[in-house]
Amino acid sequence: MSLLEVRDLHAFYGPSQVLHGIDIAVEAGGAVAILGANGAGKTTTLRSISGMVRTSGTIAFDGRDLSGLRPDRIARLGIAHVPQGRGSFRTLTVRENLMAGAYLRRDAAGVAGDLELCLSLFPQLERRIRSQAVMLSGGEQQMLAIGRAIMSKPRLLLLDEPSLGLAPATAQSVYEAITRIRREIDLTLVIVEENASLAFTIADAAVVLEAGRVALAGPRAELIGVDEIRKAYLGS
Amino acid sequence: MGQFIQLVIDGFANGSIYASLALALVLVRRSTGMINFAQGAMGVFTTYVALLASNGGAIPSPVAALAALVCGFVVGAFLQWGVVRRFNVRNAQTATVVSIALFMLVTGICGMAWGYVVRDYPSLFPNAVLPIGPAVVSVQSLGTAAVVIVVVVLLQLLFYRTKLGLSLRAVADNPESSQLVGMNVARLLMVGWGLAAVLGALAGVLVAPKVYLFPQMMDQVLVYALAAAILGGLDSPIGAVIAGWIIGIVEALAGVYVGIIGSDLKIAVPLIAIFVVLLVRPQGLLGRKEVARV
Amino acid sequence: MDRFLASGRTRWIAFAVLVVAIGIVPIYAIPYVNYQLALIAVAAVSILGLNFVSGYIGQLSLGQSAFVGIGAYAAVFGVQQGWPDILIFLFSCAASGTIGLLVALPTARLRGHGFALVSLALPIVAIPLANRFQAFTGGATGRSVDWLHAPAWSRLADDQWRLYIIALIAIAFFLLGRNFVRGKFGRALQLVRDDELVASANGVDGYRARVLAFTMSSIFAGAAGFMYLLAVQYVTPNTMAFLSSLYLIGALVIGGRASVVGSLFGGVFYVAVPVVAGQIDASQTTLIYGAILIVVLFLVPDGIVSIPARVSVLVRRLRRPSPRKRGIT
Repeated sequence: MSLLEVRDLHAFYGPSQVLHGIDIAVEAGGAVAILGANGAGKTTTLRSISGMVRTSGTIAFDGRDLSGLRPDRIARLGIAHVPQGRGSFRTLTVRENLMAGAYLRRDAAGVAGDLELCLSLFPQLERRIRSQAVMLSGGEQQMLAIGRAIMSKPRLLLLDEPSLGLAPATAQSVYEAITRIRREIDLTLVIVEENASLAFTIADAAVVLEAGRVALAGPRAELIGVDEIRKAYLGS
Repeated sequence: MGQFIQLVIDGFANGSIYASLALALVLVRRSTGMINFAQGAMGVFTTYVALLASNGGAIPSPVAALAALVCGFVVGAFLQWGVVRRFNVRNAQTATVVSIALFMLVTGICGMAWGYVVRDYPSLFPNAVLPIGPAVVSVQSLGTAAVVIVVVVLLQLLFYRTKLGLSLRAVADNPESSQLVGMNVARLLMVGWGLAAVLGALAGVLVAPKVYLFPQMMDQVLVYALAAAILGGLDSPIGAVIAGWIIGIVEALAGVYVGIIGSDLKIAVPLIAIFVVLLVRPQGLLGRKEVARV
Repeated sequence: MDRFLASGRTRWIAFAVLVVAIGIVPIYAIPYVNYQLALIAVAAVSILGLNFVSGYIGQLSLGQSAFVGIGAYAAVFGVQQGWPDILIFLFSCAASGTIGLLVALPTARLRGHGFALVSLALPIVAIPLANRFQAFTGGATGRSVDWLHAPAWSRLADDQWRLYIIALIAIAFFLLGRNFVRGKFGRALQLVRDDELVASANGVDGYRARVLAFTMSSIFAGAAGFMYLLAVQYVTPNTMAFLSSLYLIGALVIGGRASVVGSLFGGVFYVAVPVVAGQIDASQTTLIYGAILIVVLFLVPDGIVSIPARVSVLVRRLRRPSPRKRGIT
């Protein structure tokens, strides 16, 4: 059984419908990329999983139906979400941002250990640990956001456009960090990306959205060969 | 010289009361993004409750004051949950009208329950004086200042050394991200309003002995507190507190040393100060500059 | 049905009915009723002026009562000098308008809260000032006048004649206000309220718009002050009470923001509440205002004037249920 199973998901912002029946399945330990052009509904899909959007259809996490749950309840179940634009707590320090990520945890020793882990994974953050998040560069804030998500010890990590607004080298290092994290921790990933080649460095499967519907889906090996993907996203 | 010291200390004491209410305004502003014009009226209500709790003097006033603080927390949390939450108070106009409505509602309830009469309210402190150098200072002034300082320090500790404080600041900073890390934003906003109301209740029991208890008791204090909050930069707690003290001291000195400003026009002093500061530095003394993102 | 209500012809008919009523009622009504009608006119004009700033341009002003007071005191001055009534009227409008302009020039640069605070400062400072300058204002006891009696040829009582004049001024100002908001100025104001950046991109300067709105608002308040003195024949510093400003804002919201007709409803409400409250308990005016304001904000945030539109939308929805997916929030 998949860790995350989305079936016939419809999502609405007020009166307008953004998703028209999405199906996604993510195996435990796997990594699925959600690709598509601007406005295809990628961010809305993640926000639906996190409970921030009005939906109909099924979203099942480890067999448990997430419909109607508040976002903080969903976070409690072990889902961490790094939103588009990083979602930093701007006036909080780096350290406080990370500790905020650990809000739901009661094991002080474990939290301290994970804080160490984050700082070793992201040395830039260690250097700026007392700075307010708003003073950090885009890349540093992205790492901070990922670190904050890790601090909650999630089973499922949702990443919304981690490379957005970053220089290619910085985006690359962010993805390398994610790869390093997966080696240390048992983590299932769903990554929304416009940059498909970057996403494919981690994802073993992908779903391509178009105007709120699934246009293509399948394992990486299959999709990489598909002409549309190549032309639209891989530019070859 | 003696008079000067006395004025400064009395001004500092008054300023502490303004600071307390100003801090309440900043707290609400940071967590919900609005200015609560009813903050003073809420403080009046809790002071009436304290009067009730003191049972005609049978219960000592510090205990009754404590009852007011607890009541304040409940009232604040309740108003946030019952009323404020149901409006889009991030919209400045809506927020202002809602808080004006609350002001009238709470003031009206006080008037209805306890009448528009002026009552005595016992001071928390003994009616004594202390010689300090060439000056003779009232214990009430010293006590008022001391209590507010202690409460402000406690709040600082809460906000910066506890998990609850971190979560309150997080919610004020970014409600959406707060939800994503598992914080119950609705409940935390109630706590934020509750704490703010505690500060308002504190201001109420401290000012009541001086100006007597009646439904519009805190209207003037509210103006001073608004001035202090705006002067300090609406999102800066320290700024609000310091501005409160400054306003209190300047007001006390101006009332005596500047001839044309009698006791009735003292209130013009902070208003003029704010006006000038806002023109020169719209974000207040310690506030952050607002940048319009295009 | 809603087309009927909104049609221009209906509005003109309603207006004509109103004018005829104003013509007839004062003759047959008792002085008390005439007095209340006069006060309604005063409140309505004040609220219409306030609407420019707080409704159309969206900048809440908590100091309208101070400007009404200025207008009233200016009229007192004119009466004492023995000026012709037209001059007194112009003086009232000019006095309030000038002070409004002077206040607006620096203040309009402040953002929302600074503006609200300064406007709040006006009545707060005005009252002690009025108490101070006793020679001019008569101090705390205020000044009373015995002014503008009905001419013999009209065969009317004083209060009737005064009510006609007040009604005339009110109608004139409502027409003036209506043209003001319907024209490009009104649109400019709302543009500034909704999005100042967009407005400036369209060549509308937010600062100028605010100054204009505030000055207009105080001119209207000045006129209202003149009307007030005419109706009440005295003025005290208490006319400018801070609470009155709050009641005006409350009445404005309840009547209908950014609406000329809404201002009229607001005026009616402003006068009606103390009267109704007087039946139960006069001191509960504040409580009633607060309670009704909250309820209105919940149910009809755009004010009483929006009720017909809302009702017709509701009726339409009940007739044609649209197919909607049952969503989970």
